[in-house]
Amino acid sequence: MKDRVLTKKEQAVKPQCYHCGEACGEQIIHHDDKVFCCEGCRLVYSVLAENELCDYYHFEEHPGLSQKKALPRDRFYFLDQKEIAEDLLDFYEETFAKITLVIPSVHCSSCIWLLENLKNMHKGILESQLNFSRKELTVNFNPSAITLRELAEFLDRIGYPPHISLNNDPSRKKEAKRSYDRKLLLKLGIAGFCFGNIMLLSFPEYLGIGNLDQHFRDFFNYLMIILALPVVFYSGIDYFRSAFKSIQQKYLNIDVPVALGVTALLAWSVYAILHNEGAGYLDSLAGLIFFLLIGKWFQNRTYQKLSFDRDFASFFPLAITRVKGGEKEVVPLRAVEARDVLLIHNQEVIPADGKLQSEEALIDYSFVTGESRAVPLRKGSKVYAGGRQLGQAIQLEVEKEVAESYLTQLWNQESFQKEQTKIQSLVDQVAKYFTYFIISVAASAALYYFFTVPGGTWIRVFTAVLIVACPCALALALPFTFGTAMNELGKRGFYLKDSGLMESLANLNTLLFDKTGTLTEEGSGEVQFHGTLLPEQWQAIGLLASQSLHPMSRLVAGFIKQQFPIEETQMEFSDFQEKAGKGLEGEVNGHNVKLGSKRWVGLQEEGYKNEAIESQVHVTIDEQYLGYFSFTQKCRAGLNNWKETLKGYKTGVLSGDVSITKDELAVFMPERTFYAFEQKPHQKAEMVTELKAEGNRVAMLGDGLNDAVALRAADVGVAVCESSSHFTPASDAILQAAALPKLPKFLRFARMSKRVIYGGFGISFAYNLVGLFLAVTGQLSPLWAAVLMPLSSLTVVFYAVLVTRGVAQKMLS
Amino acid sequence: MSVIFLLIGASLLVAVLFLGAFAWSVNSGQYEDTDSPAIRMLVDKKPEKEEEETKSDASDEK
Repeated sequence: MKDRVLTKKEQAVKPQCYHCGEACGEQIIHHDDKVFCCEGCRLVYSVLAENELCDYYHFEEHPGLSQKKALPRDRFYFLDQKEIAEDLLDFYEETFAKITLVIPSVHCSSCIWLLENLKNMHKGILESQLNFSRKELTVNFNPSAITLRELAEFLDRIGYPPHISLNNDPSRKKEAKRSYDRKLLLKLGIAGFCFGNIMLLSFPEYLGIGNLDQHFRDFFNYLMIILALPVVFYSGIDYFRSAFKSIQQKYLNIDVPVALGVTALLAWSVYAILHNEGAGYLDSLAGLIFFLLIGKWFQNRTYQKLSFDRDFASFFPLAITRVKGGEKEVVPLRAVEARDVLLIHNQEVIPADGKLQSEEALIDYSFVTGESRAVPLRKGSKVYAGGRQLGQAIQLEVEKEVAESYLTQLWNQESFQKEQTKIQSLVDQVAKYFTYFIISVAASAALYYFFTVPGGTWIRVFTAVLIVACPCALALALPFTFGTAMNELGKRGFYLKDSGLMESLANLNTLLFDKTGTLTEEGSGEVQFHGTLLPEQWQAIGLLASQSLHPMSRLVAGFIKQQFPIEETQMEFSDFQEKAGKGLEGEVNGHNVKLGSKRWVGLQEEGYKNEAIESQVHVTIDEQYLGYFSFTQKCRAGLNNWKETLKGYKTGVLSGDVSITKDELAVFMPERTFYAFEQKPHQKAEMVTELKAEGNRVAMLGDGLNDAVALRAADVGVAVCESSSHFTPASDAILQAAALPKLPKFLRFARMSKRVIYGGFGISFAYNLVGLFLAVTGQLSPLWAAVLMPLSSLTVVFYAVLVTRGVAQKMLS
Repeated sequence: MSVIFLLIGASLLVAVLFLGAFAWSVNSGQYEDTDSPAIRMLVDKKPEKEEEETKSDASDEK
């Protein structure tokens, strides 16, 4: 997921980093005649240059990923634990070990090249192979030359950190899926094989060389029966199963007419061959099943590299440091019990609910609650699992086990299990009418012939109608249209879990948005100063602010640095003090500078409760109040035309944050949008279920864990994703943050694709009518059937694919 | 003309053998990843150091 290419103008002003392609902000690092945006990128380049692997940069321009927001390197410390390492390794021996790692940042051919060249970078790595579509790297290495932890850190150093989580048995789920895919391929292969051969053997029949010796005819016919059997009973078995199930549940789906047609075809053909009445329709039978399986295969092509099913296990760390009797030990997460004291490092995720033992802590709960400000806590306060510690390591005493934390309760809420859509899909509805129609036509035609023409004509007509009315084309219209549509959306940054979602997308009438991280850019903050300052004062404030790690301090420091270079050496600095959540204080050149909340800088404010949520940083120098900095989160660019384009939808903003930015949102959100702030996760989900109960079809768009339940409750849950290494909760679809502005277009496209399907139905009905006419008038020869079937299928498929692509081109480009 | 029995029988046998090969290829996981081999074959392998020659041969056959 790369940033857009900078225009020539932008390039002239801001040089592009050679490694990652992002614009170099304030920091420009020169090395080897090249420009880098940060030390991290330069380091990666150096590692590659040392090993003569600069070909990495030749396959694609700027193939690297920005190292600016890289996580602390020592976060893989838990891999030193034998227990944990063993769980992860596929194979282990003293000098040879094998592991499969998920590398989310893989995205291009350079990545493949680099990751398969690891053995040239480190002696301990013997071999590595990347499965690009799954983003899995299989590494053979020598554990005595490089430990698992060193391997992980090495990958991190070159910009491809592995994602290691409890859910590292995605292999279990994937095994099931893998075997399913293989079975489908086998069925497809056998169906195709038999289809081809049966058709070959049918040639005498087509060409009317009916005067063959009876022996030959029998030989061909019996051979055809033998070839047809595996097609029906192996390749086609799923259709029978599905038809059976649906009849049991008293509704008809598309597989019922298919099963009916197949049975009629087989029964009649066998009868005809055994009684020497003709050659039967075995070629149409095999062809039918073959084409349907192709449709199924097409429909099942999903985005393997994206995992849509994520639960809390993927989010939590694999292991955590526990302090027992003054000794630190690293334990796997499942070994954590109540009353344990855990040591949480900077940027680590807190895995269990507990009580804070350290004096202070600064927790980032943005993922869990959506609050964008970090929460400062004092000793004794309750700390919830899912938060991330910022700053110094803290200790906390576990109160509830991992599986019973508030967070996991959230994930597991039974009431929000995804309900099976009781709304029948489009094609099932059509199937119902279709089946009734066909049976009535067949019955009436049969009755007619029964009374008018003596002999067995009526049977022939009855089965002929059932045969030709087979919804082969009908059943192909949907998978190929939706499958192609899903492809087109994927090319533009909107990935659906499966093509069935297209229909839900097309039926939506309500859109709910999360604010933080979805409508606003993550980590962005626009800083404004209210008041006037002299240049020396700016310098002093900037110097003070840059001493702190607090997100607000960094924003202030960054803001000032952009305008005034801070000459640190020319200033005397002493007496630095920082109180989490309150402010900073220091002596600069003899002046006392204070930066922080109103109370901190000396302005008394009565009843001022929640200092943490304050959006203003006040400044006093030498006890003189000089003004304050205000912060606003930047809303994403490009959402301006939403007022117009989302008119037909009911819209709402649900946010876990406070109501600071409502006016900014109102600028581009449609008029009758409703806003709800400070929403807890279950409140968001309640809102969704309420709307659904009123009959609305609701989509929820969010990016954090606090949206997780709402995402699951909605008809379509979309996770908005900033970058591939960020964790997003389980969802039905993934939308790249950069593609968010195109949402209205995507929705219109989904609605349009429904119309394309109607067109496909029309085409298949036309064919069916022609075939029915032939069948009813008793003229349906095997040749005709064998021609109509593939012809109708091909027409519908071409129509579906080409028209959908054309529509995508016009609507989405 | 009755030789056609033999001919069709033989050709079907050969064809079935190929079907078996297809089944084997599916089961041995060759259809798992169809993206990376396409890119991998475009990559030039640098001349390996001598000790690693045998290893690179093995990987070439993958």
